[in-house]
Amino acid sequence: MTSPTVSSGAVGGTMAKLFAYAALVITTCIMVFPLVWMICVSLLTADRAQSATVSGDLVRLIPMEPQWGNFSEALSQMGSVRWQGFLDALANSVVVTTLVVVATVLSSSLVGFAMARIRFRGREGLFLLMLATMMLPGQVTMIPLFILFRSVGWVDTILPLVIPAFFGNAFFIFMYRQFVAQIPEALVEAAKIDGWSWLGVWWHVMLPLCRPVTAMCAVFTFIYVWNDFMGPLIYLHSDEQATLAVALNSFRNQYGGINKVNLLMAASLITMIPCIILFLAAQRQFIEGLGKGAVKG
Amino acid sequence: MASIQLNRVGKIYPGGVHAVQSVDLSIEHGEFVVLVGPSGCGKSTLLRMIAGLETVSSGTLSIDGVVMNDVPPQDRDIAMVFQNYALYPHMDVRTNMAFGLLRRRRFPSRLKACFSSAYAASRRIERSDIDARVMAAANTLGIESLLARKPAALSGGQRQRVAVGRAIVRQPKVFLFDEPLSNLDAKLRVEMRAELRMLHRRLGATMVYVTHDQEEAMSLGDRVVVLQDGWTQQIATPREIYETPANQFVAGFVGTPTMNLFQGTLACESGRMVFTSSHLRLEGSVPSWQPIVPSLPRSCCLGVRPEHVQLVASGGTPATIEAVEHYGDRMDVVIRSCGHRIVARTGPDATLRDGGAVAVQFDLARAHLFESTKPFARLIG
Repeated sequence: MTSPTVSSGAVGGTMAKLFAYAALVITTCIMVFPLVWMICVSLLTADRAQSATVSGDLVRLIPMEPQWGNFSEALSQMGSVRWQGFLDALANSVVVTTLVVVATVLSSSLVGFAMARIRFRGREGLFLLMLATMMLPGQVTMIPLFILFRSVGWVDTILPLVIPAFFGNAFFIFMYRQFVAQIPEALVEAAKIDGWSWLGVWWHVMLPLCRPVTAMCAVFTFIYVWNDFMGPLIYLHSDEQATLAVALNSFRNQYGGINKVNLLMAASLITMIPCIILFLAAQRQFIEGLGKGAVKG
Repeated sequence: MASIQLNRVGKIYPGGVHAVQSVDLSIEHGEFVVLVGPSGCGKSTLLRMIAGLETVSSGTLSIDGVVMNDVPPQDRDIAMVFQNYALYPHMDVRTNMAFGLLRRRRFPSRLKACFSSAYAASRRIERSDIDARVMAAANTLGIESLLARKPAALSGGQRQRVAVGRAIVRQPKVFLFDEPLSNLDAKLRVEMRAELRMLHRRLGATMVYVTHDQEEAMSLGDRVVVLQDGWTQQIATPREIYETPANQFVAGFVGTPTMNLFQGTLACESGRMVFTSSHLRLEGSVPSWQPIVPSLPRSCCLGVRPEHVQLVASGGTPATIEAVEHYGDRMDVVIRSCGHRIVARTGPDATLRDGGAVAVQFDLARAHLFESTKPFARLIG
């Protein structure tokens, strides 16, 4: 009876696989560690959380007696009025995020489609100019924009956060343009001959075909707007207008320190849930959109 | 049905490329006209100008007497079948076919008041009418069972039928076809050709068809327009194009295998016509050539179709067989004689083999004479 032999190629393949898995596991651990830290802290008592975060002792982070009540406690203490602060902030976040996502998708896809398919004088120049705006840091335009919005009386309303989204986003316009450029022009021509206007072609033909880019645009925008702290902090001053990201700030004391880090982590964890669910739901289309949009048309 | 008039129509692309040059063409009501020519001859550009997908650089383009130069495609009442079908991939076959009518659908009564001003009342179509038209077109093309499928689930032939169906449903004035069969396999292409011909008979519509395949052009068109480098070379019935080609280009482009063309000198010696081209000497009595006798001797181009070249055992110009192509019902034989490569067509029963010796005779009475210099026009007939 002969013993089974293993070829050197097979051994090499297995080793390479092992290395790959090891690298992936280590990277995943590094990436997931902050989330795990957050979950652990959110389940500790206030004293233990304080000492664990100050000392940096990882063993003390392990919640021996998980404080599940921290989550309801955290939400109820958000803002100045019990529960009302959280509910207001949640409603504001939902309204602002929904409007911005819808506006960004509609405006960026429309402009991207026009840049890719409608021939007009100065198209390339305009596209380059639009791309150039991507190089401008947000902080540079912060003060001029604030002065502008204050002069039209929009401060302490959601308008400064929502209205700019109706004018497109340079990065997503670029993605839509590249994606639309890959779609056969004959489809646009067929729709034109079928009697549809440019708007009709965009709505009925292009937007449905751009689903991968739309998923990517929607997920990116949702995550950005949902977590945005700076925008609402600048423009929304009253408690009733605050979004979740700003409302979390109520856990800080008057000196800038954090009194109840466990409750802050619990509240933060809950605000993260919609982003995680959305990403998981749109994951396939999201990744497809990234890949397709990246290919030059 | 509609008539189309092209009056000195030209197209210059940015960069100065002249794609179409001063084309004059009048297409009658219900006529099937085929634009044919090699790649880059401007046939698709011409079709796209009729469709409104390309602007007209010069001249006037009219449909039913109305100048259409600046009318957008959606207002020309035309339908087009594209080379790659251009079916909307996210819609099922039913919606694909109905898509051109959905813009004109009648709104529900509550919405009617809001939108009624946007559409002319005469152009509105009931949803039930749209469904009926789609079903009728599907029945005509035998695709009723495919209506719920998406284009990705269809074969090439089925997609082609859906694309034609989408055009039929619109009931347009003019049908435009841009090489619609070029993506199909040879057998299906022949079948679809016959179906298109039947469809034209049934609908009686004005159709303009673009192809680079001269066989397709000859079999489909009531009239054929041969184009080269943007210029019209000949506009005639398929029979005329084949039997009396207007110039060397048409003679060489139409026919499979193509016409044998010899550059040489024609003279009249003792009442007999003598054509010499290097070592090849052909002579005979050709009464139809009498009109050009006063201008002889002159250099010209002689064209002889392969079916008018006979291979004989003896009594002709000696030749060597280079290749024999069997087609079952016939044989095309490539021979070399007096330094010329010549193609002859014979019956299927001839016993010929590569490298064999043979003699060749030309039927000069059915040969064609062309000028040997630009514009290489036909000399007689």
